Amino acid sequence: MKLPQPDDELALTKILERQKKLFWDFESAAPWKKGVDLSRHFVPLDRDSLIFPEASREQRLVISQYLGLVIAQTFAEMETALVQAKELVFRKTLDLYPINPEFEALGEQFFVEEEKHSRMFRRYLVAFARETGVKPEDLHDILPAVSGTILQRTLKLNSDYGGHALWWVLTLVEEVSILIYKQMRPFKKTLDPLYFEIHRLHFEEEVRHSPYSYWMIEHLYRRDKSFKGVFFRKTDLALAQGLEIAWALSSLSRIKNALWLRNKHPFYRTLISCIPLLRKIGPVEAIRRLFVTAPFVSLLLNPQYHDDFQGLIGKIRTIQLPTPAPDPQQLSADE
Amino acid sequence: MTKTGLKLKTASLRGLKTAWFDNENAGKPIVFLLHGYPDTPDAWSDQVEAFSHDFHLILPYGRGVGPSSAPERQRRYGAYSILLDHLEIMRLTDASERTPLHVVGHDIGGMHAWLLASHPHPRLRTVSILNSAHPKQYLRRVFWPRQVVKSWYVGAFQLPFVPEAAIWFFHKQLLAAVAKEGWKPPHHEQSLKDFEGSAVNAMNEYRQFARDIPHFLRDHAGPVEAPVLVISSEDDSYLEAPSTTEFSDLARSVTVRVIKGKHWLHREQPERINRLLGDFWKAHP
Repeated sequence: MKLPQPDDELALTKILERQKKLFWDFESAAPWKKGVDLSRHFVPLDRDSLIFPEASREQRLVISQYLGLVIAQTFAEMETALVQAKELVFRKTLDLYPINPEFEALGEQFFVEEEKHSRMFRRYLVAFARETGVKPEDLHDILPAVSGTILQRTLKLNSDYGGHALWWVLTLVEEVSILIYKQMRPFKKTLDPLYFEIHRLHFEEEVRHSPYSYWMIEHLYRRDKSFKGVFFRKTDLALAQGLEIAWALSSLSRIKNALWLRNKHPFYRTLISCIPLLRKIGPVEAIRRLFVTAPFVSLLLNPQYHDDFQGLIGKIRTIQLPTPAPDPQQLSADE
Repeated sequence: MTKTGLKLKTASLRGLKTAWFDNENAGKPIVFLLHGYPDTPDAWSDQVEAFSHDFHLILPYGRGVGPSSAPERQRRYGAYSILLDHLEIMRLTDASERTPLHVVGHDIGGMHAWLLASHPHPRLRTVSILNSAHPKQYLRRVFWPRQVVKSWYVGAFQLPFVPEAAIWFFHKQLLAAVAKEGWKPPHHEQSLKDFEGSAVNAMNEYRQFARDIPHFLRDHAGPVEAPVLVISSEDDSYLEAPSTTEFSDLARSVTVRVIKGKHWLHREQPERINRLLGDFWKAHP
């Protein structure tokens, strides 16, 4: 990916103008009136339905929908966490290491867009909760959460002391969001139209503004040449990875909270019925699949899926936690 | 009158011959261009070419450089003494003291620009600082290890005789070294006498800077009211890139730009620097 330099004020001005020109309002851009179509998959699945082998047709539908909700919630939560940390990771950081007003303005636009994405995915989750007759906070209990977790607290602590692990987390999430849509695109006709459309809108803007996190990472590590800066340069990515992996694995365990909702809607009843399928492969194999073959989840856990991200790692010369080689599977979205 | 339309003017200011270039473009906003070390006003030749038509350009020689006499007393190299010289040049240029004024300084010229801006001026519109630091900002950086290393030459200049001897014997090698940092020789053939002024005499400004430290620390001038543009380089061998927080007590409004480049940005990337300066002046007429 060839990018202009962040000190190129003319190029940044053009990018900002384009971002503002193409800015969409999610209330009017997405087809909310269509509602959530519970008869359709949200995302395509591999043959083994992530880590639920031998899932029935009905179970595959629910697993696909649950994974779709997990993805939506992950984006909503991560992007909210970033916006909440804006003062620390953006404002104060650029005060310490300024580039130019254009970079700052582009950053402001970046945060506006991230906040919008978060609200858009949350709105979808509210629509799903309504469709399945549960309160949004009950749905929240079965999905990953970032707010108040060790992940968020540790990332904040890292930022307080001059680290930039949050930007690594964000950059990986941005890459994942782009790749997720590309994997969904061939199955457009069989997926829930509303879910597909919010991902399409998300993808459009992510592709336009994803260079920003790359610029921030390169810029911050280049400017901070202190001993502390060198330390964080070497360790931030490994910390981000470790936290993400721990968070993702612990988040998936929240699926069992669906037990309390089993009487609300068949979706939750079927979801609970998928849990025994996990015993067919055992925990070690389940974790291996999450890193190597599981669609979408492996994109987040395994940076080897992302060439540009690997390029950035090489440029920064930082340490990354080893992960097994990815093994992407053929996907399908049963009709 | 020179080829660029600049006329050399001299005056006896507080007993010393002081020289500056003036394009005599009366009626236009004044731009005061302060060169650094080891430069002469010729260092601004790219800016003169770009702005001569629209601005009244004043380019003083540093104390002891070119036709500006070298004083006998070390104190006349001091920043506050040079400030008085600059104020006098401005008074001679524009007796009405109403014409809008933009001040630009590079390197040690930037320090003079900061002091000039700290002196209350209703007609001062902007201050632009290239690869330089406010005296207080520079002194605070004594706690920045990388800046201390980069400022090695300031310490070396405090020695008597040794730096002069080094410049005399190794001036070609030294010029080659600063040329790697973006310095360019003057467009006219620089005589050894000129170089003696810009490199040897002007070194005394750094010596006097060290002696003036208590004055800088006691200086309670408030923050500069006019908008300030600070342009710095990522790869400046003499100065660490600034943080915005450094200016909180020095200026009310600061725009910081850090550009990939070396110490002589206005020579290295003249079109870009001219555009940034021009836009800044246009935004604050």
